[in-house]
Amino acid sequence: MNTKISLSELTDLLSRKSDSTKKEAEQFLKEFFSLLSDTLAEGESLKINGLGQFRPIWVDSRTSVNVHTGEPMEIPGHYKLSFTPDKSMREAVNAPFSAFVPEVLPDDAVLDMPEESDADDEPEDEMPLQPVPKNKPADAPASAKQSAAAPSVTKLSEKELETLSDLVIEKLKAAGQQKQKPEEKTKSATAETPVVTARVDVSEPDETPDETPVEEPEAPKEETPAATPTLAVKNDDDDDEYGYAEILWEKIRRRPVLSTLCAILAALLLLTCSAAWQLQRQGISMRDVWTYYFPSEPSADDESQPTLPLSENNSGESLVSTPETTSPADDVDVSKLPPVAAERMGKGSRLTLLALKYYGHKDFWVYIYEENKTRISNPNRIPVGFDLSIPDARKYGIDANDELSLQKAQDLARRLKEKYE
Amino acid sequence: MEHKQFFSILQDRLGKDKKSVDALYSGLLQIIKERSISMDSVSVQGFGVFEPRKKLERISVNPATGKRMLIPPRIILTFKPGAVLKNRIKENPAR
Repeated sequence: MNTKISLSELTDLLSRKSDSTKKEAEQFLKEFFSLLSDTLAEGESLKINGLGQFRPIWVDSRTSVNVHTGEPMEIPGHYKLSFTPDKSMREAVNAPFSAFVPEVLPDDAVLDMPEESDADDEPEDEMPLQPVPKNKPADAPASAKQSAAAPSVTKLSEKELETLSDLVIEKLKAAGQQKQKPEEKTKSATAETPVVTARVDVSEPDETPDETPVEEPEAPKEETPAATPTLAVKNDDDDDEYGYAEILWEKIRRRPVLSTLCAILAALLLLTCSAAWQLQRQGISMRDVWTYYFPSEPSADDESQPTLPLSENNSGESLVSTPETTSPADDVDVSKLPPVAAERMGKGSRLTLLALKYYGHKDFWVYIYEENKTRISNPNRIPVGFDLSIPDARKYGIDANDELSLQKAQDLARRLKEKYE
Repeated sequence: MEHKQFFSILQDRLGKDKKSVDALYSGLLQIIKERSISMDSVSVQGFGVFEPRKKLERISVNPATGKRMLIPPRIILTFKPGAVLKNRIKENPAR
C-alpha cells in the first residue's frame, strides 16, 4: 500500500514478467519513457492503447503572490500535462469499486440538513402567558366587573411606579402565581360578578342630575369607614383584582379591541374623578351626598363587597392602589385623607414651589403630580389656570425630615423624568 | 501522435521487432495495473509517477437533462509528471 517503486525495481519486475533479460527490460523502459517525454515535450498529444492519453493543456496566465516577499507576481501562461487513463486501465484500477454505479437522485431528495430554527424558544416564552387565555372566558361574562377592575388597573399601574418595565416584571410574576391557581381565580371572579352588578343596581337610583352613574359608587365609598370585617374581605378582592389587572394588561397588549375598551374605562374613571372633584369644590362632600340618600346608613355598609371597591377610589382623584394597602388600618385611613388644599396654577407656578410650600421640600412635587396625574398629561407642562389638589402629606408618607421619604420622592421623580423626556 | 506511430518509432529506436516490444509493453501495463490495484504507485525517474487515487462520491448535475446524479466513489489512475518533464512541456509549447 502506497509504496513507490523506482525504475530499477520496475525493470526487475518487467524482466520477470515478460521473460526477457534485465538489460532488455531496462533498455525498453528507458526508450519508452524518453520517447514519451520527447513527444510530449514537443507539445503533441499522445494516445497509447492500454495506458491512456497524454495531452498538453494550456493554462492561462494569472496573478499570484510571492509567498516569500508578499509581492504580487504574474504566473505566465504555460502548458501542463493531463493524463486520462484508457478505459481498460481505468476499469482495472477501479476494480474494487466496480460495484458502484452512478445513481439518479430524485428531485425532492433533501441533501442538506435544514437549519435549526430557534423556534424552540418561543413556546417557552408563551408558557407563562397561557393562564391568561384560560381565565378570559371567566372574565368575559363579568363585564360589569370590568368597570370596577379597570380603575384598579390604572391605579395599580400608577402606584407601582408606572414604568412599563416594572409592569412587565410584575406581570410575569403574577402570571406565575396565576398558573398555580387559575381555578381559584376564575371561581372568585365569577362569584364576584353578581355582587358587582348588584352594587351597580343599588347605586343607580342614587343618581343626582349632574352625576354620572359611575360616580355613584364613590359616594358610598367615602362613607364607609374602615370596618375591620370589610377590610379582610377587601384584601381578598384586591388579590383577585391584582391578578385581573395582569390579565387585562395582557389583553391590552394583544387585542386592539380590548385596548379601546380599556381606554373607555379609563375615560369613565376620569369623568368620575372630575365630577367628584367638582362636587368637592362646591363644598358638597361625598358624605353629605351619601347621607342625603341614605339617612340611616351605616348598616347599609355591612355588605363588604360594595364598600370595598368604593373605598379604593376614595376622594375622587386619589389613585392609591389597593393592593398596596394589604395591611389594614393606617394605610386605608391615609389613603382616604382628603386633599389639604387646592391650588390654581398661575404664571410662574411650579410644582416644586408648591411642594416646598406644603411639604417643606421641593422634591416632593412628585406627589402633587401623583395626586393629579389623571388630569395632567405631562408634569412639565401644566397649563395656567389648572386646578391642583394638594394631597395630605401623610397620604404619601411625605416627611421632609425623613431621608427615606425624600429618597423615595427623588426616585419617583427620576422615573418620571425618564418617562417624559 | 497515435499509438501505432509511437510504437513504430519505438521499434526503430530499440532495434527490435514489433512482437518483443509489444510483449514488453504489455508487461509494463500489467505491472502498472497490479500495483494500482494494491494502491501502490509506479515512479519513473525523469518522467513522472503513476499513482492510483481514491475519489470521494459526489453529486453532479447532468447539464443536458438537469438530473442530479450521485457519482459513486472510485479509484482512478493519475499521472503526475516529474519536474524535468513538466519543465520541458512548459518551455516548449508547440503552439
